[in-house]
Amino acid sequence: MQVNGVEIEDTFAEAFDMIAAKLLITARDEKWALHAASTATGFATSVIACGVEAGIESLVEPDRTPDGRPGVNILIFGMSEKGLSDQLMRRVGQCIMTCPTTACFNNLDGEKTVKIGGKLRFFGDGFQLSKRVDGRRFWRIPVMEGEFLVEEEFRMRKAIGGGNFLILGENVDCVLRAAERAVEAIRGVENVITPFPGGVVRSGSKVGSKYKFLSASTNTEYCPTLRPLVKTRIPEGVNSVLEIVINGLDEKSVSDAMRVGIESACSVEGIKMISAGNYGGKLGKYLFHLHKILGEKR
Amino acid sequence: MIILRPKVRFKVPIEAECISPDVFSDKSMDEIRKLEILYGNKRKPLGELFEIEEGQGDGETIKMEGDMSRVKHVGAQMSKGRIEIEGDIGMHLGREMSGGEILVRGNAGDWLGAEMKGGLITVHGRVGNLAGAGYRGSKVGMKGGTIIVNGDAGREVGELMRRGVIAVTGSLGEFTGALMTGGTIVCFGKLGGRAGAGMERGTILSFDRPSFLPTFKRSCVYRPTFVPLLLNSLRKYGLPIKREYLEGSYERYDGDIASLGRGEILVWVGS
Repeated sequence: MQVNGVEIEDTFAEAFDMIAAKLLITARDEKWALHAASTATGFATSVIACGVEAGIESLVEPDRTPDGRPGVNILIFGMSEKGLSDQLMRRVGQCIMTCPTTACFNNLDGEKTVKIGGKLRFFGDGFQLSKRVDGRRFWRIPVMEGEFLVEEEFRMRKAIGGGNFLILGENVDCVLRAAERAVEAIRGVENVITPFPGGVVRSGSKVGSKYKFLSASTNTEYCPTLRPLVKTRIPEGVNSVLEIVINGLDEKSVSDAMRVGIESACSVEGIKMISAGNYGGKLGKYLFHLHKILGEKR
Repeated sequence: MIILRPKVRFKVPIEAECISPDVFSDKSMDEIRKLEILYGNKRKPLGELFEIEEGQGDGETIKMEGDMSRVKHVGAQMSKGRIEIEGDIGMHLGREMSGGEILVRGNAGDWLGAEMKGGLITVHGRVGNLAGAGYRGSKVGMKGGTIIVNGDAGREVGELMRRGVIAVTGSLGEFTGALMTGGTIVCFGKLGGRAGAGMERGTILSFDRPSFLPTFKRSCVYRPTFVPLLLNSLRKYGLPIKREYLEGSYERYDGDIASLGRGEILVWVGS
């Protein structure tokens, strides 16, 4: 299969179960909502070392937020309910409550709940106030700037992590340009994030290592500098590879994001091939076949 | 839908707790006509005092038409369904209700929604004293739900209130929110004197500057995010919420410091 003259490898991306929360951060203006969102989703590229994977999902217009102020939706993904709950507490407490003028709302229907405002309220040292609005409970925590409003409970639900595709091209310039276009296109898809810096990964990994103490190591098959030394998957004429990793709340969102991302990447001159990272079907239960995803629209 | 109309002009108070969707829902028309009410000190069947007919519409809706200003306790303890009242209605409407909806196009008497736990009461008219309050001897008044008054309300509205929202587009009488331990009262008109007397917790939100008890202390002018959140949630009731209220600043008074002092009166001071 080819898209815009770019070869699409007949392979699949392998994704796995995660658990996710969706937070809506509002503030006096978009700038401060984004400050909080960027901080709360910082150092959250991979669960391997960050505890969670997180990113900004979308900007929200004031007329669509509960308090009528500009908002930012963020998605946070963890491997377990406990792990995600712990990280939510830390990130809401340290990154959102600390940020001037912000408020934090749950923005997800999910089967699991975690108390966030219900615990953070103790920061109010007894002066916190509880309010119920439309059946939802909020806490007003007095802070030096004024008051931090946070919802009592946040919802969590099953989600998917590890949707991905690889962009293989002539050089780093065109591959990076293609990756940027892909990420830009994926921003238009609801309920997904690309958790890596700028949405792009340069250091894709494989499971295991020659070193016993490492559970993951560089993806040698796709490292251009190692072509003559290892079994390679890089075709002739390709000198750089970048990966886009996508986490989403459901299969359709991940699939849609992969499709628009691949299509955008294929519009850049110099791109030779699109592939995907998988572990032979042994790691995750979700297999996103590239041909099937791209064929859905054709 | 069941429609009730008074057969005569009532001269004595009527206690009609049975007029409730919970009571009507599993009964035939004959059984409804035989339900007992107190007419003064006499027990009478409902059908003797009201014309009762079946209309089109939802089976859990009761419609009342006419002057029922002496009919008390309608919708008491109701948990579901809807009561529509075209005309004035007497005291204790929707007392202790836990769900459902009551709509009044007319005036309502004292103790509207007293000690209610949930549901919605909307009155397009004047409301008497002690709406959402706790009965004498009770420690707690309204514990949940919403009361919307498109008109004025009397004294001691929200007395002993713990949770829920009371929003009044007109003026409120004296002692609004007295002895409150939680919940929110929103006054779009003039807030009467001695508001929040003895309140421990809770919020009184006013868009007109009231007179304060000396036991309320000014803390600051700020923009509590909770206010636009609340006002946005109240928009669906057609209240006169101006853009300036959502974006404006509020002067906060903490009190009543003669009591616990964790309550607040928030006064809008403009954009």
